[in-house]
Amino acid sequence: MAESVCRSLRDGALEGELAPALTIKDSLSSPFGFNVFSHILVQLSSHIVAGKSQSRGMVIVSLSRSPSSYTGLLKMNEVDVESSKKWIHILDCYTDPLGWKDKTRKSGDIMDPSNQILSSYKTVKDVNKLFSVICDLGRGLVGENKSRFCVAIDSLSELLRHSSMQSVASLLSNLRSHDQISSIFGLLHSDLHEERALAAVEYTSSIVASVDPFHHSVDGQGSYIRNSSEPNLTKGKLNVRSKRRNGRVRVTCEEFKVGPSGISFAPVSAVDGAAVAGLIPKVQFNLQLSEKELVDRSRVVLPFEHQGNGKPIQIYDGRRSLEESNNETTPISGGKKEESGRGEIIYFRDSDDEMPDSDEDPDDDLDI
Amino acid sequence: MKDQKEVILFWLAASKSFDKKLLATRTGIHRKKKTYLKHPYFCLLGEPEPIPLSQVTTHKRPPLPIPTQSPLLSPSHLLPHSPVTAEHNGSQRRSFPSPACRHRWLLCLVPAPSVSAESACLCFLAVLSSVSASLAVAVVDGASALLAPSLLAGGLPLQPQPVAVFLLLLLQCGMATTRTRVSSFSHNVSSLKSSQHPGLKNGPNGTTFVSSGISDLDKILGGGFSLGSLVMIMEDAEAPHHMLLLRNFMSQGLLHRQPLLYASPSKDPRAFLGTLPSPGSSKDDTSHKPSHEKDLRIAWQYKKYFGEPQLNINTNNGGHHDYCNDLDLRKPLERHFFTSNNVDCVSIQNSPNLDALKDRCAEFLAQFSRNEGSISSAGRIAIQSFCSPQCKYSDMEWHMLSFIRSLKGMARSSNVVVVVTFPPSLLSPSCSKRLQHMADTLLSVRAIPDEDKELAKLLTGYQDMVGLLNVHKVARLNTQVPVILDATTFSIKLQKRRFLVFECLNQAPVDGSGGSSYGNSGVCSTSTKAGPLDF
Repeated sequence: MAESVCRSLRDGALEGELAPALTIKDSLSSPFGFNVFSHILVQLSSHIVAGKSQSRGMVIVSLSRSPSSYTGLLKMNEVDVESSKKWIHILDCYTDPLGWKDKTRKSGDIMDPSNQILSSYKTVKDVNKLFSVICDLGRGLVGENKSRFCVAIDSLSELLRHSSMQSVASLLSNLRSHDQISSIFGLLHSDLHEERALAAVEYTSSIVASVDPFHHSVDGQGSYIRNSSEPNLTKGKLNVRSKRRNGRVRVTCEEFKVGPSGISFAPVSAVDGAAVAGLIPKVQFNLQLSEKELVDRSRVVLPFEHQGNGKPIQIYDGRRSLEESNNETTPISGGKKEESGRGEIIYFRDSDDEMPDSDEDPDDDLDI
Repeated sequence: MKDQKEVILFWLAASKSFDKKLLATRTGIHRKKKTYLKHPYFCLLGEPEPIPLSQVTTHKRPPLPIPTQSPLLSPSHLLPHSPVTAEHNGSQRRSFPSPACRHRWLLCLVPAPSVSAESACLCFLAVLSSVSASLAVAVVDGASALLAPSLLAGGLPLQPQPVAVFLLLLLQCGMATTRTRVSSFSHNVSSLKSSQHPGLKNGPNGTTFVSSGISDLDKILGGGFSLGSLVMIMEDAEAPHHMLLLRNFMSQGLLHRQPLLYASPSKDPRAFLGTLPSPGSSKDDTSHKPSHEKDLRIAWQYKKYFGEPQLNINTNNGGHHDYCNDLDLRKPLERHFFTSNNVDCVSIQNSPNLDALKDRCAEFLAQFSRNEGSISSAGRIAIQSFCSPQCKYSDMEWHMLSFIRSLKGMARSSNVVVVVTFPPSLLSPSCSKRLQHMADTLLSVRAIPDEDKELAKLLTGYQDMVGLLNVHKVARLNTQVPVILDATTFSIKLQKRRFLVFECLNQAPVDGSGGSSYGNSGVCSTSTKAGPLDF
């Protein structure tokens, strides 16, 4: 859900944890990554202006679009740009990322009119310097105290083009672990890079939102034909995988529609495709008992277990009960019956050396 | 090439009982215990009195062709594509039994069961066989591995480098040091000294276990992690469960006062020590393990005549004396455990290659080298996220592989357990496969989707599960009998959000009312699609 993504970016990082990092991945078959990016940018900006978010400022590192396009975007979405110098700063890596203009300029310094929200950056290849510049700008925006700022990187693809994967990954992880950064988000075009670079960026980010074509087909060939015959230029699907703190992954899917006014999200209309497949072959039945079950089991009174529970054990053995026979010193020799008054069998033992209990009903001993 | 020096390549790998003076006596090799012969892939070549190959047991490989006419097995038999010429073969055979021959060579190969080690050994054999003066001496022994190149440089007419490299690779192939045993079939560890350290436990075949910190994992692995083994944990890019395993491992070591070396790609690894768990309080223990009733409850009608049964006295007398503690993940470990000198932290983020880490590991491991005596102390090494993308060396795959290889070799001859976690999705498939093969014990953790109704229907206890643990390989040192577990997938749960528990996956009761659920469970045996739970 784009809403939940915005919300998690807005809430930012907790103390002592890494900042949430969003990577928006798109591809040629559905090139709407920038729409999603700008949507999130606008949302986050409005949250910052309204004061609802953890971050107090935003630094935009613009590599693939000119900085004026961002201000135009914000103006179009009625975000208060007047006070923008207090909360936004755009690092312009678009006009001259490698510093060529400085080298070719012969005479005269045609400085750009100093724009308070803009500062130009000339050495994109030096990622360490980029990191420090971002941090300085951000600190300039929010001050030295505990307040935080968020960072938007317009195109991680551009950054990967200029420098190696390790340096970009280290930049991302350094940004995430910086004390004053509340969240990061960036755009990536997945078909421009190798698998490993994509995997590395996904590894370092906590939320991955991939913009997929509307009909996600299994057969590769079929999708190409279908896509070229009916290019779906307005709709698509946003699949979000967010890593939760407890280690689970939340997978959500949403449809979006791009129109002239922007992008709008809607929940998925039809259940498409299979959910969990590949069920577990070797799942056993649970033979363990839970704690409640153990406690219950221990409470079950088994047949002979209530012996000796306080009451004297009553065993009808035809002669006397065990306690009475224990009290006597002389062993019982003959059979003697208790008077009870009702009709009973009076039995006199034949001989003394008969086994005492042999002629008794063994079930008389039962004390269930 | 007639080199006067008679140089013998000898590998003191298989048995520590090999005496160094064996080198002096040519025939001494036979009087010593033949335990090394039981090791797989053992070939004794070029010996004055040959040991028939029938005594050699091979485990995985098909039986080597035994030449009937000559007891010497020339290396060409082993090499599938060796460019050995016939006359060269003949010259070796000629040179073999005559005691006057100066070009005697003795080669004992004990590679570890890992694919690349074999190829390295075969390459080495190719080198040797192509050299007419087949002379090589190396007393290759774990601790004195450095002797080899220096000796070689003096002895061989060859360039020392390639052969030295091969020798180093050979010695890193894992040397299983066995204790002196009468026969190889003794299963009971007869010389059982009850271990004087609570943190160590004697295992089968002369190995010693240390606890992993999680009692369920110890049970699954049959006792714990063996000393001298390399444990690799494959991470999932989407879940931090490997940190839970590492935390318990490190904390257990610190509780038993075992020195620890921790390396991680973050800037400040010491900060991680603050998140290590502490043993849970004892009053939790009784409710935690209610099922340990010693006697069965028998309803016996004559029980009353025998008086009260004795109460089981709980021998759990405090956390520090247990082999494995219940670690409470919410309670941080007391500082005095890791402010002492036995914890060393290394950050591998900024180092351009792994040499610095290798040196630190080597000096750490040197404190624990194994000798014949009893184990005085054990150590632990934990390397977290070994190839994470922010490290500068993360695309130097062969460099990383050789680092792990050398670490494994150094660890094998010392009383240390090494735990390395790595994310396999960030490596090329061949590199990750190689790393997996190098492991002695291989575990992997996986994330599970959140609020997945299908999974919740299928498994009991889904709400408590945080992930899945797969056990791919369990280390068995000094034996070739593998461990076959009846269940390899376990669910990771946090009991009461504190204690890490692994449980077997249990199927939820099938809902009788819904007819479709049976259809789903019918897919159990034939997993058609590779889903997230494909085992």
